[in-house]
Amino acid sequence: MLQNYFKVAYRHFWKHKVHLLINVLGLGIALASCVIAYLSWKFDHDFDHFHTRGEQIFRVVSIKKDNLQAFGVCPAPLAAAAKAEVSGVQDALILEFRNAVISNGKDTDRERISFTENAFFEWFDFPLLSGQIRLDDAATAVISEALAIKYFGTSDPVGQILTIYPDQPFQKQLLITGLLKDTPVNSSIQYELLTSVENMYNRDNAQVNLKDWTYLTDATFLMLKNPEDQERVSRYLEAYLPVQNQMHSDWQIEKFALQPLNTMAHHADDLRWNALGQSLPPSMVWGMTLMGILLLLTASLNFTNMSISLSGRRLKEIGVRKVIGGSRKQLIWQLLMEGLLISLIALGVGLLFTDWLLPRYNQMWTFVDLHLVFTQNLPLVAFLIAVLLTTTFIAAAYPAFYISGFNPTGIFRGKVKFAGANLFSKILLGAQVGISTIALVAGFAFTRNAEFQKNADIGFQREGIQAIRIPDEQTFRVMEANARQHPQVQAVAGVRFHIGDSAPRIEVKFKDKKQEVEFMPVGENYLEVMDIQLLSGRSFDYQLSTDFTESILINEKFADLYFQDGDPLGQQLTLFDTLRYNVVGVVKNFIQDNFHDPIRPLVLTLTKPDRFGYLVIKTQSADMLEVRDHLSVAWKKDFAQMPFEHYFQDDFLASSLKTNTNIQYIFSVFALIALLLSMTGLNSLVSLNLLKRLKEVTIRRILGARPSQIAYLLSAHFLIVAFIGLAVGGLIGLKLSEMLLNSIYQVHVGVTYFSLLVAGIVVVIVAFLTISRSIVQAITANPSDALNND
Amino acid sequence: MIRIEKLKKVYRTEDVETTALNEVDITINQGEFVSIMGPSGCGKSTLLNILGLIDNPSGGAYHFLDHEVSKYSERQRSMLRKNNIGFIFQSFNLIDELTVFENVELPLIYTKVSSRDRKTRVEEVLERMNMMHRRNHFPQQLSGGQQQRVAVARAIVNNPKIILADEPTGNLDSANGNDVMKTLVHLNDEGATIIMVTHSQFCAEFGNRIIRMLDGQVVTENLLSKAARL
Repeated sequence: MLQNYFKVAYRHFWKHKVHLLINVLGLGIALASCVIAYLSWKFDHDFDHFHTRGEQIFRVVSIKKDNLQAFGVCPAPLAAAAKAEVSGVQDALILEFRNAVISNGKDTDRERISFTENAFFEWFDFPLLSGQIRLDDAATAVISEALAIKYFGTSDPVGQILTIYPDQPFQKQLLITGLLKDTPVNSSIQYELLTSVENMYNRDNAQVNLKDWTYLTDATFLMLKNPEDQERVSRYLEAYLPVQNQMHSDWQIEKFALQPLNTMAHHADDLRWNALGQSLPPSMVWGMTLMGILLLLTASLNFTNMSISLSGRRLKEIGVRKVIGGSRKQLIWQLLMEGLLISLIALGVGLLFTDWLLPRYNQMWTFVDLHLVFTQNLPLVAFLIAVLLTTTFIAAAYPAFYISGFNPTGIFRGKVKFAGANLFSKILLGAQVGISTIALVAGFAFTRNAEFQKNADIGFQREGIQAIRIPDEQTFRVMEANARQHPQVQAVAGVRFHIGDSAPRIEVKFKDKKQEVEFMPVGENYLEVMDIQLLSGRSFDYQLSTDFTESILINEKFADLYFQDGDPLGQQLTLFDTLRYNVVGVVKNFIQDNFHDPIRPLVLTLTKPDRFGYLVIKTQSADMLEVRDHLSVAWKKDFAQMPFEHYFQDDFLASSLKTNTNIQYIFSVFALIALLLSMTGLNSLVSLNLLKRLKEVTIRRILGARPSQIAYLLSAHFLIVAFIGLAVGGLIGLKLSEMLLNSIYQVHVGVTYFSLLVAGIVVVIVAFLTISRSIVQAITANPSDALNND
Repeated sequence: MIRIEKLKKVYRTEDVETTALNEVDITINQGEFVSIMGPSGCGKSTLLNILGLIDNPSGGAYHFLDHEVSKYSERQRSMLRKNNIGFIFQSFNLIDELTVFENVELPLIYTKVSSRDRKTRVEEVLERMNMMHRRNHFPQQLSGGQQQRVAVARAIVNNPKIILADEPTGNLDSANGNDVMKTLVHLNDEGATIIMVTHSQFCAEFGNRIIRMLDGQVVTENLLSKAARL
């Protein structure tokens, strides 16, 4: 029996191979999207799940008293105190990070150094590939494969020497004793070089004192004897609040909270001063899931429509099978098996497509590393089986259960006309057009946003601006002089935190109100070089020594939030509890970091070269590369022991733009596939309608019907349904695009009905082109042929 | 073998009620070859469909092989049908996706005959129908007469107790039509009960009884002598 089913299915499919090919490809691509959505979800869900003792490990975070904001940092002595004194705590560990310069004597670059203890490797499952771990010896380090390749190429890194802080007086040579496997991308802890906590230095170039309650470590972990003690232990930690708050008066902590290692990455976005990684952006996980579901739905609905329309040509087979003894149950199974067969082929295509797509998808996002691995991956196999069965059911259930119920007498008498023009088919068509429109609207919304990101007035000059990170005043002076020597350089300036390099947030007191604002100390000429506009008051006067100590500029956002009722000019603000500044001017809002972050209240103070972190250079856009090369040569001549850290201004906005371009690309592909599928569906319905009504159409033509009337007769029902789908899909698309833009960008162009209009025009044009072939066929066919064939 | 009493079939649409069969009484004995005649719309095909258990009557009684089947479910009818009845249609109704061999084999698959036995029996009937040389052809590669011979082969492959033929020669030229009728007579001579619906007086006379219908009722029944068929 099965053999017979497969034989019929194979020959039936071969007869309708074009239909089948489109459907298999559509379903395959949809299934590939679902697989990627699943892998993304699983990747996100499994963040930090690979540590065998993970359930016992908790990160301590500090909740600040004044704003109840959670911070990733924690007073340094807490770890040792908790380990020694708190019941339920089995062990404690600190982890610190520094972006510091390292050198192998030949290559020098800024890297992320992690400071911890030997116990780190007993807590976490980060495999050692070769050598040994001896972090109790402060003259050693272990490094990742990636760092080993960067500094030692293919030669064995174990036994080699790396110098940390070569640009500092306390530079230190470390013996590499071990090679570690690179961290998985879905690990909160990312390392390149790990060394002893004894090698940590603070801002004043002094060795860090871990008994100092005012020193905040980047991450403090506790290992609990029993994970259920989480609440109890966090209550016990309150005992350390008085000592901490007494010792650290400007860092008052309300309480300590414990975050389980297995879930902390999903809450990391709510943490400030978080040196560990965070899970995927939620919009990415649900966006992909939604896309996978919608695409699968479109492809399945198309499959259903195809099955229904082709079933019309199989009624005779159904009738015959019933007459000669086939039961309804057998027919249902036969049709479901055919559906399953197509779904299986589609799944194969989908998996091949996924395999091709995954490396490209991983390249699109730096924070994603997805792999299609079946061995020992029961959840993936279970997911694939579930998707396969669901697809089969959505796609084949309706034809199977409906058609198998037909009475053979009706079929043989020609009373059953089942050619895909029923209400269900129309609803399916409407749903498909709706889904295509959603994707199109979103695609156009992100296209508009890409244009906005490229061309919008972001409040400062971005063309022709480049910056070099500089460690101290002497470097600044030398490089400034070098820059000024180049004839194409129009202007230079210094700044502590350049636009794009997240400025710190500090507390500002205005009267009795405290507010957190971004803090940007700028040098002479910076506002002019960056073309930041003054809205009211005056800019800094570099001749006035008091401007360095008493004058402050605020941005529009600050003014709007706190000086709604009055003029901010002349008002006094207190910074760092004691420093008083007078507001002398208000500058126009500008994007401080990138489009992902909101425009925040900001204060700008005037600062001197000894506090500069960047040298900013302005040229014509065309001269940027030449100037960069000139500066690079100069840097290598004078500061060979330090990395040349250079940025074009657009680099800071590149990640926002890349995200946007990626989403735009994904939606465009999605829209293209969905549109192709829905138009295939529309074409099937109209051509089958023509087949069914050929005699009627012919008679109407003989009686004098105009081509437009024939076109209306054949397509009106479907076009009305398609327009309803277009309208509903368009509105959903607008809402969805707005939600997606909001979840990704704090600054974006927004959505307008323009996207809907463009999407509508595209759908209408494509729909008309799709049905035109059938219409032309109907109005040009020889009438006698049609009547003779009937 | 077959006995129907006061059999009714009414088709209802929203506005119209059409009586296709109006209290028909017929008895058919084993080994008979009954031709049913009448103008279009007289109810003969409806009668044949009910006799063949592919349609249910609206009223009356239908005794098939001593079972009262008028209230049988589709499942029960299907069981009786596949074991006892062979069908021959005017438009052949062969499945286009299956070869000649596979079309003929299909009833045996539904009655769960083993693969080896199926092969033997299909080859036997194809040999008998002189269609063995076309066993791997698809229906669209055959002439009308050949297609109907395949349909006959399919109808008899299960050795049914009764063969129902609905205008079996309607789509054939006279030579092919004659061949099919001679085959049916031959099957009848071998013991098969045959009920045939036809418009053709010539074909009807191959049977041994002619039932004439008009407006859903039996109007006459004529017995034919054996000599008349030959």
